[in-house]
Formats: sequence, structure tokens, C-alpha cells
Amino acid sequence: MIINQITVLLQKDLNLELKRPFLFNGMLLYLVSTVFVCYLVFDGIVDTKTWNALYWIILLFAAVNSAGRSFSEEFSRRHLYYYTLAGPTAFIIGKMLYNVLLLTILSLLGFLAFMVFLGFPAESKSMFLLAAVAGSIGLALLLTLVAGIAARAEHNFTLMAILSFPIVLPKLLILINLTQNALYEAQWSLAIKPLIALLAMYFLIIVLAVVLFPYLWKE
Amino acid sequence: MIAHYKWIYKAVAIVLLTYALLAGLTVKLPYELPVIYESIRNLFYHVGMWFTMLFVFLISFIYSLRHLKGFNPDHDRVAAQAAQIGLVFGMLGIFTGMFWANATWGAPWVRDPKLNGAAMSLLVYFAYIVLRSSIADEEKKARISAVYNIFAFILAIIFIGVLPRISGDSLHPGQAGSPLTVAGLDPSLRAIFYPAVLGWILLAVWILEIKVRMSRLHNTLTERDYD
Repeated sequence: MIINQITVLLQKDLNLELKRPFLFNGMLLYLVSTVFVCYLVFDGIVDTKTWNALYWIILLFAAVNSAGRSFSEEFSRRHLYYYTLAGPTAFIIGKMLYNVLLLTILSLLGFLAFMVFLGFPAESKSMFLLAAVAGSIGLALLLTLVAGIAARAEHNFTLMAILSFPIVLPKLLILINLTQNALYEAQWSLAIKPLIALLAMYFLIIVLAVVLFPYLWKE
Repeated sequence: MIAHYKWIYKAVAIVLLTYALLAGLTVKLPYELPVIYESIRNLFYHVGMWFTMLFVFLISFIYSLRHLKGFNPDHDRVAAQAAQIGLVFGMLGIFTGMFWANATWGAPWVRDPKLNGAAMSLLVYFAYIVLRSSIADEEKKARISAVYNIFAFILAIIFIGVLPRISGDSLHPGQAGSPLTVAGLDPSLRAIFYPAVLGWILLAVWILEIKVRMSRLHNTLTERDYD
């Protein structure tokens, strides 16, 4: 029942995305052009630490921008229609899955753009990619509920950044530690502890979002 | 009935803080600590600020939970005022810490997980205040900011406690490699530290009570104007 609702909502979001490809293409263009600006500014020579910092900053802004619009059309009158079709739990989980999909693709394409323009100055690609995917999943989960809050407050974009950055920071610090490890030593044994911390955090985020979202959903 | 005895905790706050101020500045230090020396006295004030900040943020969190349970506007009022008071104590904590850091570490701001955590938790509550001021409708403001408060408190404030253990050593005492912890403190200093912390917390509760009453009065006055 609820899984049915989630798949239908997810399909609806994907269909909407395919119908308006300029939104996704816009995000992609944003990624590529910022990476290109970095390439021009740094003259193509970037040390490992800067590479890591640039990657996460660019990805964070892309994530805030693309997740920020996930509710921009939902809390209008159309949302009264959804109200009759699905519960808030299905709705928020559908949105989260959709954002996870979107941001994972964005983070991988961003990685590609980085490889092309700035190279990959490090040891373990597989470990970095794992960290990047884990990071984008976490960003997507976290930003979905914040996007709901910001959309309710109707000052979407400035609020989105203000509200999300302080909550994103702890997670981002763990991620940067993880990717720093991937870039320098690439020891899998060192990656286990932060990965477990991340997983615990994701579980917590999902539970909180499912519990809290009905209060945003209610008019 | 309870209202008649409310003055007791205020009196206790005054007594404890007077004691903490006088004894904290005049107590004869039981040992000469390297690097820290006399600045150990800041312990009674600086650490107390953080304990108080966390306590008041916890009050704010609990009242946000209670607001979502019954949608009582009074609970939201307490949550909002507590967040503001927590911010004041947090900033005082940062300032007292800057003096101390300047004396012992040589710079007012150093790279340290605890400092990052402190800055983060202040950012969370500044964001909370901005969120509140951006929603006009009172009922909606209360509900949505309560959601953010709960989400942010659990994800940010709790992880600030966990993070230093993941991201390595802190310069602060009580972490790996440091000889000094509160439990290992000399009894003569602990006898000032615990009363001082309790005093600061009671002072914060006192301020909170006044601010909530003011906010209530302000509310009834503006409502009467509309009628």
C-alpha cells in the first residue's frame, strides 16, 4: 500500500523532471561551469586538500539548490490534491528517494567534471566514489526536510541555505575526514568508523523526517 | 502554592553566583599548572556558560516537542525565548573562551572540534531566529519553527557531542592526552565549580521566566489593540 504510493509519487517526480529537462541541465551546467572557473583560477594545478574542499563546496551548493526546489510546487493548491491520494509518510519518503537519485547522479557527474578539468590527485578512486555517493545520499536525506521547512516559510532560497548549513556541517566534517583518507592513505580500516557514524546519522534523519513531516504537511 | 516559594530559587541563584564570583577570584590555587596558571579561575565562568547554554537549549527543545503535541502557543513562547537566552549564554561562552584561549593557546580562535561545535550550535539557533522572523502567521510560525528546532537539536547539538570523538583530539581538557578533567579537579576548586554552574543555570531560568512573562504581556497588549 504505502510502497505503491511511494513508487507512484517517485514516478510522478521523475516524469516532471523529464518533462522539464532544463532544470536538471541547469544544475549540470552550474556544476561544469563552476569547475571550469576553478580550473581557470587555479591554473589546473590543485593540491589534494584544495581539490577535496572544492569538490564538497561545489557539491553542497548544487545540492542545496536542487533539493531546495523539491517542494516549490507542492505546497500550493496542488498539495490539497495529494492530500487525498497519499499519506505524509509516503510523500516525504518519495521526495527523499527522488532527491537521493538526483544528487547521486549530480555528484557522480561532478566527479567526472573534476576528473576532466582538475584531475584526480589521489590514491583510491573507489573509496572516494563511495564517500561521494554516501555523502550525496546524506545531503539528499537531510535537505529534503529542510526544503519542506523553507518552502513552508515561503522565502525559499535564502532560508534554505541558512537553515541547512549548520545542520549539514557535522555530517560534512565526517565526510571530509573520510575523503581526506581516500585521497591520502586509502586505508579501508580507517573508513569503517566514519561510515558507521554516517549510517547511524542517516537512520536518525529518516526517522526524524517521517515523524516531523506530518506537522509541515498539515495546513 | 508553588508560586509563593518561587523566590527561593532566585535567592539561591544570587547566593551561589556571589559565592562563585568572590571565591572564584580569591581562592588560593592548590597547584601551579603549566601554561594555565591563574587563568584556571575562568573555569567557573567559561564552562558554566556552556552548561547553561545546553540546559536552556534543552528547555527550548522540550517545549518545541510539547508544542507539537498540543499546539499550545505558550509552549512555543517558552521555546523561542529559551533559544534567545541560549544564544546570549553561548556568545558569552565564546567571549570568555577567547580571553582564555588568548592567554593559554596564544590566539583567540584556534582550530579545535569543540570551537567548531560551539560556532555550529550558535549558527543553528541564529537560523532558528531568522526562520521565526520570516513567517508572519503566528500559528504557522510556531509549528514550523518547532519542527526545525527538534530536527536541528537532535542532528546538530547531539552530534557536536559525538564529533570530537570521531574527528580526533581537542585542545580542551578532558580529551585524550590531557591531564585535567573536572572529576580529577582539586576538591577546593570543585567546591566552587559545581555551585557556579548551578548558579548560572538558575540565573538563566530566572531570565527565562521574566522574558516569557514579558512576551505574554506583549501578546495580550497587541491583541487588545486589534479588538
